[in-house]
Amino acid sequence: MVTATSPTPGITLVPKHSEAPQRSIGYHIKDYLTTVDHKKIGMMYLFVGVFFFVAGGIEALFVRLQLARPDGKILNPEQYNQMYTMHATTMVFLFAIPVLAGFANYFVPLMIGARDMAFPRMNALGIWLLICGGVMMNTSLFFGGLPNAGWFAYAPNTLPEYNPSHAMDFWAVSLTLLGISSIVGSINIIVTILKMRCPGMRFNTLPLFVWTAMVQSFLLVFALPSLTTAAVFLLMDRNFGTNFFKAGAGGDPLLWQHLFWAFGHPEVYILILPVFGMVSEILPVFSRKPIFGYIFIAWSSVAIGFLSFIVWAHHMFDTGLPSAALAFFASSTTLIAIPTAVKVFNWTATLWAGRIVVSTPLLFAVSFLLMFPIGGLSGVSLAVVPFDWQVTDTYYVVAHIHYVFFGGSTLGLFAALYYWFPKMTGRMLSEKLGMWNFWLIFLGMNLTFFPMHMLGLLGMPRRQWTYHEGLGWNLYNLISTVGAFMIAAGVAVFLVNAILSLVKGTRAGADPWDAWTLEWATTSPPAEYNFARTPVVRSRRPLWDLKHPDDQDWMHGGH
Amino acid sequence: MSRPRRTSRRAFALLVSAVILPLVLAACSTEPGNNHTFLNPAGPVADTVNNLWWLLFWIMLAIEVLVATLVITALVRFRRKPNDADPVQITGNTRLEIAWTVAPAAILVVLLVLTLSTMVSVSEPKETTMNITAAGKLWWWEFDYQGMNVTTGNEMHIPVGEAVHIDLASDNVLHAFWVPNLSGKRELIPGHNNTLWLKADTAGTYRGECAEFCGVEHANMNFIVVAESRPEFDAWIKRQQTPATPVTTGNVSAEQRALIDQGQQTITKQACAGCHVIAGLNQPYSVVQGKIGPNLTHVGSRAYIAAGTLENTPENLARWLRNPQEVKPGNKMPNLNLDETTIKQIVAYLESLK
Repeated sequence: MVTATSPTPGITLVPKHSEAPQRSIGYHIKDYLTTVDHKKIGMMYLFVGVFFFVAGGIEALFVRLQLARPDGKILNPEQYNQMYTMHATTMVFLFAIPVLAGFANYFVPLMIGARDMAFPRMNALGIWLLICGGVMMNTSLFFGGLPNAGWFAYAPNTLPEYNPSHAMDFWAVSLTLLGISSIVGSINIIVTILKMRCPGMRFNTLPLFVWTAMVQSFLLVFALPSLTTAAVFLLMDRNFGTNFFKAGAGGDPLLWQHLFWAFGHPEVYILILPVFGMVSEILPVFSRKPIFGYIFIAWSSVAIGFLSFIVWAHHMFDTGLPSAALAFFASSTTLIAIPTAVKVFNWTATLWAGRIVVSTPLLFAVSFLLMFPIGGLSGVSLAVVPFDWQVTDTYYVVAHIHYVFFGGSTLGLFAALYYWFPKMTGRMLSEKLGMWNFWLIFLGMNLTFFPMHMLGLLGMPRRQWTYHEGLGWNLYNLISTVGAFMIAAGVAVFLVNAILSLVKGTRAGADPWDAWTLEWATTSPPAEYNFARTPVVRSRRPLWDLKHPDDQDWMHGGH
Repeated sequence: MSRPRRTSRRAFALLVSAVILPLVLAACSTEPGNNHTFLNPAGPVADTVNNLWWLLFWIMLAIEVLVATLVITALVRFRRKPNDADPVQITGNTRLEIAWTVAPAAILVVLLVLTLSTMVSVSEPKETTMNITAAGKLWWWEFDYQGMNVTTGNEMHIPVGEAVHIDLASDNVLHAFWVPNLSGKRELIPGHNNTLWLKADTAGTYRGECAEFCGVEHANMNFIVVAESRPEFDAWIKRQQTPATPVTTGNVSAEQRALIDQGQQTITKQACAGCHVIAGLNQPYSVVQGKIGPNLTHVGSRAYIAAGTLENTPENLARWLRNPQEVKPGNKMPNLNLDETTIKQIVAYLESLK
């Protein structure tokens, strides 16, 4: 039972960094290979994710180099198709999902006052399946080439008569592995959140990152089976003579699109919802006031989660769906913009009348708040069916998804990296390099992706390996390529910053940002058991309560 | 004084990069050639969508500017100064929440109504003057004028001011038919009978392209739509209905005439007919097969070759015949290792098929 005299028993502010004992490298390797600790597994997810972010980024640079000038000769069409396919596949399945899984693994138990995930061994299964899937996806390079049919892999272009190499088999099998990895990971996170919260941690006091991680995990559990089904159908069509996607043999190529987007659209929210949560953690700490409209942010995430399952066919407006279906999916897509808009206004209100501390996590979070709406708004324009018929499958859509995935997810992830790096490593990232990192990435992404809106409006279809002189696309493509290299420079600065800071960064201490959630009540990095005693919380900001014994949140009838 | 100034300068930089920069980029789109877009509409559907787009644009810009202004104002006004105490710990405001739920909802309802009404207004009219089958091939377009005995490759002619019905067919992978100046795109899906309609209000040549990824040469699967007056169109159709007839009259030299003759003989001997139809030419291979490459009966009359890849000139045609894989890597026409004399003859013959 919680008593009034002891508002937050079990947590004490940890004053100093505690030195870990020096161990040999061999010890650490064996430790990581056999670990079931949620923090080490989280770090492995993050490492794998960052590795593939660099790999997918290099693939993107090849794509941009090829398109820098008309009639480019850097890649031949087959190589180009492999590059753009692997760029998207890598960024979605091997960067974004793993990095988000890494943050969730590391911070969900800490933020809810638990000592580990509900199923530590299953947690290890998840990371190792991910690594197997990632290796498998890329080893097809040595068996006839990388997958080349786009990350969306529309049938019948993926069937053997049009795609004779084994690349698509590798693709389908590794997606299945990655799917299992995500599903076990998500079940683990759901069970952890439902069953392992510390006393006093009710749904109304759950940190918003934990909220969104939970909604995201439900989305993964319900969306991935559709993709796995599609992948298995494809394998059977390719290898065992079935005809799921063959017109004229009883199958239908359109079936693939339905199965794929029934996963693929929830997937978009899978990649952005936890970032909504991260931003909802970071903006309050750096504004020095609580999140504005906690209830609305939490429940709008749930609303987005439900709605994300009934919007998939807006990817298929040009496939000749009946008018009634078009009207339905246009309506549902329009509807999903409302909870998203609510969030944007709440974040803005969180900044308003705060005492804003400008540092790298905040800059990245604010740039998220400026860039994500551009992607959100162009998303609404794509729900306008007759307009979509003009711009779908053009660079306008490429611009849209990159404002969502880069302007949204990636900028938010950089904010989270700068925010939580001190907790995970015990060292601060350099602010000076952080500023370089921020400005290069922020300017670079706008140079890269904004001109793509114009290219789409000017009629440039996506996924083409070249374009000819005289179509009016040269300048925008060149600007976009320059921007891509700016982003690359920004990422390089980040990697340098991370390595330098690991070695000789300022010691972070337990709570460098004067933050309010439970992870900051542990040492940096946290001890293996996280909390010596299970904490008890009474409000959404247990550390605020601890630091302001006379002005605790719950005393005002708040949470 | 120095501190607030630095703040505002940094905020200004942020503002510039977030809002102004893209607008500057948009404004400097002076590059010539970019009229291949619905922003230069030449038909009623593209025209409607063009108007709709500018409405969308201003709505999107207004909302983004509103959010950016609020965020940047907050950054400038509420930046923490040394010795600042914690701000008032506000947790929310129900009235505001209702306001910013209802306001976007209202805008979205308006957009939805516009969406649905525009869908009705751009739907196909009852009166169409002809049916054309547009078939997506690997990687070129075949246009078949139903009931008129005309089959062309990569070049469609339509009469100005008339609504034309298009049946979309694919016997291979997915493609999408798109003529930005005239209409939106529609996918070609094996086993599905998708349709589209086109109407051009002004005469002209409009570029069309495949907009759905279809494999290795997706980029070079383009076509043109020539919108012309009814008499011009009728004359074109009449010409297309005739079998292949080399134009050897006018100022064609005797030498050239000989080349054309030799070219015709070479073509009948070579394996061309395995992939291409030339109506009226006695070809040893079954014409049933001749669907892999475009129908060449009137290839000399077309503006482009290789599905919009090259302008149709004797030099370009020779370049193509020398090695099609160099021009359009991965396409279905192998390098036939033709010698220069043969190439010259074939070029002369094909270019004479007006």
